[in-house]
Amino acid sequence: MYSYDEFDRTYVKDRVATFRDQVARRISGALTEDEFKPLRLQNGIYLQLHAYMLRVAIPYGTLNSAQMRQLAMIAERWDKGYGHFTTRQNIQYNWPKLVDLPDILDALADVEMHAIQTSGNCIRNVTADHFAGAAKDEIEDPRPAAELLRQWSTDHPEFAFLPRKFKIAVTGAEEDRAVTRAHDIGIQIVNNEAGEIGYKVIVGGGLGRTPVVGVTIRDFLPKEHLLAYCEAILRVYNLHGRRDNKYKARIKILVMEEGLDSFRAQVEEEFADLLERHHGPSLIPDPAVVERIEQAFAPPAFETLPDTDDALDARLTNDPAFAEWCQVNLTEHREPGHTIVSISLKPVGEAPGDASTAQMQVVADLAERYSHDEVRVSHEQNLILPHVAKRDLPAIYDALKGAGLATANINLIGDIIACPGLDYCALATARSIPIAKDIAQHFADSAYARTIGEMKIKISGCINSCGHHHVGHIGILGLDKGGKENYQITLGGDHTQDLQLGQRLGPGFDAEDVVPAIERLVETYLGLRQDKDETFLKAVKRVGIQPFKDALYPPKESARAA
Amino acid sequence: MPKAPKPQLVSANDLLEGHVLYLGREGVWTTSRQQAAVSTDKDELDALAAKASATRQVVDVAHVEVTLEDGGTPRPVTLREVIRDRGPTNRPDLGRQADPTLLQTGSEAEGTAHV
Ligand code: HEM
Ligand code: SF4
Repeated sequence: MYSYDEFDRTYVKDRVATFRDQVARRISGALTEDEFKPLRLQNGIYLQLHAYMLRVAIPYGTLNSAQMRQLAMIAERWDKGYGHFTTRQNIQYNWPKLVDLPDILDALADVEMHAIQTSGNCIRNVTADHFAGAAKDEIEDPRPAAELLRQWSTDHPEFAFLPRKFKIAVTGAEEDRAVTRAHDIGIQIVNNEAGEIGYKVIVGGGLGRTPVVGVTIRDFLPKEHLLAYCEAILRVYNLHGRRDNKYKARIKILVMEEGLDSFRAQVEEEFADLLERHHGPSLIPDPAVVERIEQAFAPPAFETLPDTDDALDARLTNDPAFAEWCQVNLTEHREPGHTIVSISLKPVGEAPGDASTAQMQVVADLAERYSHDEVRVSHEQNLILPHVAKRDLPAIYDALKGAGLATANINLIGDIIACPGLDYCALATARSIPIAKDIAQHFADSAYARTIGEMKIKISGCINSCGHHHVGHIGILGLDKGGKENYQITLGGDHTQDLQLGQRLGPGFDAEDVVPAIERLVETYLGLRQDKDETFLKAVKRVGIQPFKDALYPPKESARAA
Repeated sequence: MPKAPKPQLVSANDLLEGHVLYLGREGVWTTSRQQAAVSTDKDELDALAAKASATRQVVDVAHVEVTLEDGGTPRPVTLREVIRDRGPTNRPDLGRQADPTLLQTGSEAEGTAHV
């Protein structure tokens, strides 16, 4: 875990003190709302439908147990007993009071957390693979790079007022679990032909109303040039990004309008210039700093363990529910005898990503006891215990079960991403959470869910796409059609290294018709798949969307209607 | 021919607490929708709101289209405003719908029936 140094600590505490003063001045009337609003937004505080909302950054999705406990405490003391984990590895509190927010931010600062740059046209929380440092397919832990980017981008004076928000994601593995191609900058750790480790740099991806798949601007960037190259990209964007039109202001539009070659030439020129001139040296990080960061993410002292455990095997044989959970929620760890546990925040009947105070406390305790004090938050709105000895699985499962957290649905149809939608969000055009709940309920039979196999349903409550619907195997977009909620369905999105945007199947559905439509898509898939190894996505890639289109909009019926 | 103006009320969020407020007929911000001033005349409502600003600090002041029930209680028309008035539909235990002091009239009980 990275821990703050004296500078970080003072900086974050000072920010809280400044904000406390700003809140007092707002309440006394010395500051108008117009003056205050940008100040609260700079501290992650929005106003939603029912209340204020506080968005707290969880850098690269990593928490220790003390931080998780503090998040639970904040939910209990100042909010309504729960928090919402988001697709950007943030946690959002939906009910804080303005007067309490300085105290909340202070409590966060006590555990080295903050809400700085979680809003506004700046570089936002840097996200990363939630299996960082644990995954077997990893070349290198992406978090030191993410931490370096975080330090560089926090309070960077030149990039405080970009044309629009800016999001960076880092992955260190071949399988892209950080959706890097849907970010303004995606960083992928790669080996070059000489066997050196460096970065592939992807630029201009994004979702929202104009979804774009990011393109590779650099195949291999030496590690020491990470900040200089990102600075060059940001400089070109800051200078030429469109400030005249909010909808065209993201870097993806600039890259598309300029063309990749021209954009790249400008970046390379800026990059060369930066390295040569006075800014250069400061952008090549001091090796001692890099060393300190890398040390902070050094692997924990894993025990040497056999890959099997008798007690575990016995439990697997005797307890089918436990065996199913192990089969579905575990991912291979790089160390023998260890595993990665995904904790589903999608139990049937709950809002995806919500966790209660008690649940956060249980996860914190488990992390402390069984996972080298680490928890991860995934962009898929689940929690992860990254470093678990297999021998401890029964105890972990029992504790999770007691907290309502043992749902065995990771990567299955019930593991749905959903943004807050119209139940909370001031920008929403329709609700997301009730749709997610209805689908989870309909497919609650775990045997059926496992028959269907891997399935990513992603739901957004408006075109902003916070719920990643564009890259869902099945994407659902909630819209307002003449005052009524209406849901468009897209098919074939892929959030991995082969990022692909889903295609719209046809006219949208009323809320009550969404589940039947999903059921028809599932039945169509089950009917046409070659075997059970052909996942839903693979099947869509093989046959295209037509059979699914026909299932939702039967040709006969439309002929009759005509 | 221009459309007949629709009845509206004025809503905002409380500066300190963030919760939803309505502009009352007496020109005072209130949590009670039943006591909200309703008018088809935007300017009249704005004038009332200007007067009320001294009584309580509010943010995000906006006009909300309503229909009037038999008893004269205004009901927001759009789903967004219905949810804003009641609370998240997936959590009946949260928001204004969970506050016993904000008594709901009978016809509101059906509220935002689950999708
Ligand atoms: C106050 C609540 C929120 C507001 C006002 C908000 C606003 C927005 C807007 C305006 C965009 C579109 C940006 C663009 O296209 O330029 C966007 C995108 C996005 N938001 Fe949110 N959002 C909110 C909550 C959330 C939540 C809860 C999540 C996670 C569940 C989230 C994650 C994202 C992601 C992943 C994107 C798309 C990536 C991209 O920027 O291209 N947001 N949001
Ligand atoms: S997608 Fe739309 S409705 Fe959902 S959180 Fe984002 S802005 Fe709100």
